[in-house]
Amino acid sequence: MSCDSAPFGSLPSRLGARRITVAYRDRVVLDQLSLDIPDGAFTVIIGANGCGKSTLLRALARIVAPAGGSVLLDGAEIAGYHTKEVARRLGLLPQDSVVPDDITVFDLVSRGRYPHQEFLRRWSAADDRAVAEALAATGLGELADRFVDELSGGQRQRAWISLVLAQQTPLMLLDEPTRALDIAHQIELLDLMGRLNRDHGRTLVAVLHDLNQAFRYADHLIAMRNGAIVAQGTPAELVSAAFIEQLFGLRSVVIDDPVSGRPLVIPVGEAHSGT
Amino acid sequence: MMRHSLSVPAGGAARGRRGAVSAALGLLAVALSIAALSLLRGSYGLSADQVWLALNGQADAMGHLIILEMRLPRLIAAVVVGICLGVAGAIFQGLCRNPLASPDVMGFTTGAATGALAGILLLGASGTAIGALLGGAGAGLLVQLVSRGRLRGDSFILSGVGVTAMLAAFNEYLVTRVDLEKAEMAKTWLFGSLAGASWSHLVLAVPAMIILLVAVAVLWPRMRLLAMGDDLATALGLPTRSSRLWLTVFGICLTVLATTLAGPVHFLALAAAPLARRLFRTPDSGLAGSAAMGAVLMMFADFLAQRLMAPFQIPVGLITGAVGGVYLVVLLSWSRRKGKV
Repeated sequence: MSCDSAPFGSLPSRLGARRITVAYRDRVVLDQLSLDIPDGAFTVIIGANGCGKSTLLRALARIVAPAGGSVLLDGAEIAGYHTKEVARRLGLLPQDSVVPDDITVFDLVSRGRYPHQEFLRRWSAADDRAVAEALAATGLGELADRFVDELSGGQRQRAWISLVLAQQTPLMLLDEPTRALDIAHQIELLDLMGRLNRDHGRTLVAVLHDLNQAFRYADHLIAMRNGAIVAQGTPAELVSAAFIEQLFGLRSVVIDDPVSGRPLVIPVGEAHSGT
Repeated sequence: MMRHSLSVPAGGAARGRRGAVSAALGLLAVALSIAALSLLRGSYGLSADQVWLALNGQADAMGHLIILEMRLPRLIAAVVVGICLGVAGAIFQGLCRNPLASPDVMGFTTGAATGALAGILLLGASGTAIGALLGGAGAGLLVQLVSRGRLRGDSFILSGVGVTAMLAAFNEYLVTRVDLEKAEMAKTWLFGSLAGASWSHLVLAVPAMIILLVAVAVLWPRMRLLAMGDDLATALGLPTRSSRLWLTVFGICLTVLATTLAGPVHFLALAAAPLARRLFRTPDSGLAGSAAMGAVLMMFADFLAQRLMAPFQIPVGLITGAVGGVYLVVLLSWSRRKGKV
């Protein structure tokens, strides 16, 4: 599949990349990569460790500047925008955020309002509303006054998500939002993301490690290997045992998920390879 | 959520806020007690009445000299140095997200001292300020160079530690190169002392401090974002590089100001911000709390310096150094309890 042409030639896209190259020192992580994020869809990026998923997300969110090519936001180069203007359109949940000491949930989430605040207009009723809505959406309303370091891992992750929600951006990028969560909290979070996408029309892009969750929740799947996009489309279009083998070098059986009807990957592994 | 409808984003637990208010009042009481003691006690005995008269400008010539020309300017100088170092420590600990970061660990105090020392040896006492400024700026550039412009994290601290070692060796070298009398003066200055504090210094230092504090206060909301990591701060629309650069510049200026007044004072900048945070338990106590804590610590250290072995004075830098060692042990035990070490 060609990577240079837009995957949804006719579908609108507010965010995309044109032949971007990103390198850390001498190591090229993304090599002339192009893509368009379909508007209003829940896009999931999958691929093996070190294939450039996080770097792609960081480049799309202008955290790293590509050495070549450009990231386009609403038709213009993202580097040309005022960075606060970008932050009003595009939110990112990075992988390695730090919980400041002695901070309450409300205080943490309220920091997501920074792009909407000006030097002399620091806090408004709209800010209050946005934070309250974000806390309600993640079910943290009751815990607003608690210290973040007293929360469980799942609650803490939901606090970070609330921060990005409070930013109220039409585009949200999330780097492994389900990590460190138990299975029930993972599903809860993915359901929340599904609701944000369906009911609130937010365009979501997430890096997920659990393939079956990715197939189940994604409208649009982007598969990466060695810094390039090898395939994209709906899970039903893409996923097969051969596809998994190509992407991860893993033998597997693909069946229909009895609950969702989406593809379900069952790895074969060593112990059972004889059968 | 009604409770929050009028609160600013700094708003957190109401319980925490009440605690912070009583902590602030407690700290104020301690500060006033130390201030009163510093004015009352000294090698020349004065009664409370005499001190009060002197403060109202009605004392005899001796009381006037001792209180208004010696003890009061020295006390105010301690407050200024404490505020400057407390805030500088909060800045560097915030930028590095590490409680071991501070201007003296990271080379800026030593850099300012090197410059001031060179200034004193070349130009006499009038060379202190300009020398300290040049030395602080030089140390800043050196650290920037060694850390390759990454004014963040452990590489920032380690670059500073390296620069500190180099500059400290250079200071020793400077002392050996001059004649005995100057060397003696330089050695004394390098211990850090407020004995020379006078109004002529303060009329310049206080406005300079206020300007720097206003600049830092304007930038402080950025520090609140940087505390969550540079990726998230950038995603929220913060220009992280320039924010770090300016906060570093103002942190160095505050260090230079403190060093000009008192010579190199160690450990105070390291201890003030974490102690303030533990006392107030809100992340936003960072600026005001560190300033207040720095002022109280410095007043207390200088009171000890004057009284501990009276009538002999100990350099205040030795007091903060000794107390700082104890502080590090305490810090370690806190970290252990939190399971971080």
